[in-house]
Amino acid sequence: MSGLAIHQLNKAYGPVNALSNISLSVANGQFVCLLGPSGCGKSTLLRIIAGLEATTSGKVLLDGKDITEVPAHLRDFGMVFQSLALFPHLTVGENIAYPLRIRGASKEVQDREVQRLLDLVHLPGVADRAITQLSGGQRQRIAIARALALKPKLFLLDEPMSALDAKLREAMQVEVKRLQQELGITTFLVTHDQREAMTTADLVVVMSGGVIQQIAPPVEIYRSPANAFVADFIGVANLIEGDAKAGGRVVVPGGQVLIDGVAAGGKVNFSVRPEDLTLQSAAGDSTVAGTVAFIRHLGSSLEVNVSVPGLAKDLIVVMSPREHLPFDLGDTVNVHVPGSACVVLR
Amino acid sequence: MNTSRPQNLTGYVPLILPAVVLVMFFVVPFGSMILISFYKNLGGGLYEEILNLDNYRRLISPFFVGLLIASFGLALAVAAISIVIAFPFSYLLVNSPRSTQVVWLIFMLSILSLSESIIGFAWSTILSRTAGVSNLLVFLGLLDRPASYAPGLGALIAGVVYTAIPYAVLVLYPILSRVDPHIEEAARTLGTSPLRTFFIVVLPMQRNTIVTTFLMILVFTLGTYLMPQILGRPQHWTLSVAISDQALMQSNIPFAAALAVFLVIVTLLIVGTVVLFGRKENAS
Repeated sequence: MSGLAIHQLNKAYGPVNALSNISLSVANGQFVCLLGPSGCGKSTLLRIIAGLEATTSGKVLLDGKDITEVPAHLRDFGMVFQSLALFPHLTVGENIAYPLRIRGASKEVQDREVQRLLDLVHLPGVADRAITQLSGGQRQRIAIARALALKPKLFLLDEPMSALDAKLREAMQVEVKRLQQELGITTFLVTHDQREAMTTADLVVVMSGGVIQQIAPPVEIYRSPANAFVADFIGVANLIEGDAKAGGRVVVPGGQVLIDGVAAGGKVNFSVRPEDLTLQSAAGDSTVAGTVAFIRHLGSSLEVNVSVPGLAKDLIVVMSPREHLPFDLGDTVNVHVPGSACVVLR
Repeated sequence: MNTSRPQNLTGYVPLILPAVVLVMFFVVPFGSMILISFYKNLGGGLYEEILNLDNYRRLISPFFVGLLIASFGLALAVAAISIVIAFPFSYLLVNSPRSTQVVWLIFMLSILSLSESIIGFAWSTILSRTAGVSNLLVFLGLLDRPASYAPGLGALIAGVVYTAIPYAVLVLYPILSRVDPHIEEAARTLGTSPLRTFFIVVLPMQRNTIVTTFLMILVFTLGTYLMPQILGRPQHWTLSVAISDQALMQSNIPFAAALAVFLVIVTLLIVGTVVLFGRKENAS
């Protein structure tokens, strides 16, 4: 098949398993985000794809060919590092032309390609500058241009945006995504920032503890998380445990929630997003009672924490800032939990 | 870093001690050396305070210019060989496990604690006919009979290189250990094999470091006067040997001072040229 496939890959450092039983298959032209907290193995996985790290067992296939043992310098993948790793002794143009120069491209070809790539990253006319004369965002673009100079089959990015300030980071995310769509290049981006993953990815791979937790498109990851870890890691989630009764009735601390299709008997864990919850004064057939513990206006939204006896964490309710809030701190409220918005977790 | 000048005179108080020490132990001796180099020698360590250029006239002779050339020849060879050994060594050291690094650095420091004469006599024994490595080569069947390699130019270079390498490593190690390891990985993902990465990325990237270390060893070697006498033949004797000979054996202090001034000036000229050249290269 065409694209990148990983088969039952394991990586151990001594007794520690950095990656366990990773299997993944990505079609050509997709933008894949490896998302997870630090130490989850996402960077290690990317480095294995790049050939910078050996596997303990398992296979990496590109277009059906086994490339597990191919050294990094023969893979012809473009990689952008967190530190960018630009060559400090070369100019901007020489950095970008480096992969062409070492393959013996003529000076004319090098110059033409440098022009083309600088235009591509919207930084024309800086070819003769020293790396130290550029700002952080500009260096980023140069590192991207250098990685794309070979027209690589795979474009690998190891948290390159994490050092930028928030505004610039958002702008770069959009730009990287546009660039990837323009070139149609298969891309892997490692990140711990779920916003970054949502902005860029066609496919999000959520990892934790060296294990893949879920592989799905961003919206699906958000709307139907596979487990409590994914629900909690992506965005804000209210995680609730209750006892399932007949008729889809789930008895939870402070009230009950009606969720269609829940079989009676036993414990049920489910997750519900803050924006799906609403506050009301009267109890209903799918509400949870609590007291208002904290209110904050975030400008674009209004966030209310409701403390429910028996729940470890406050329920978080997010509403539009234009809505009138008829409650004050310490008031007793009922949180309406629509069953259709609840995702039952395994 | 705070680079503003002190607001008033009391702000300069902390500088008094270093200033006094610098003047007493550096400016005064160096100035008196320059002054004495113009005095007239009376023999027996005495001199007359009459300013004249006789010492400098005597020094511009084929013999002393020859010594100068020999000095720089030796220093250049030692600096080059030391870099060729110390740079790859430091590079491998930086990329080896922490415990290995510590062992080697302690070893390097312990070489520094040895005196030059001990190292010189050790090398002359190692390279001698009676007890040296040639006996080992005979035992291995590589030589017919033991040979003597010391005194000789090879022995001299070996001895000085041995003393210079720890300095080179201790200068190179901290600089190389600060280099972003991702730069080499980037070079590899861009299509450079590990060996080629060393030659076309690591070496050029450290050009300034290499030049600085080279100059340091060059200057360091110019001052060596024991090694040439222990491990070299008279034709390998350097200007530093002549200076010590004039000062200690001939008791001609003014002429020794003139030779030392001469060596300092030529050294400064060469170092200055290299620094200027390097700066121009960087600017272009």
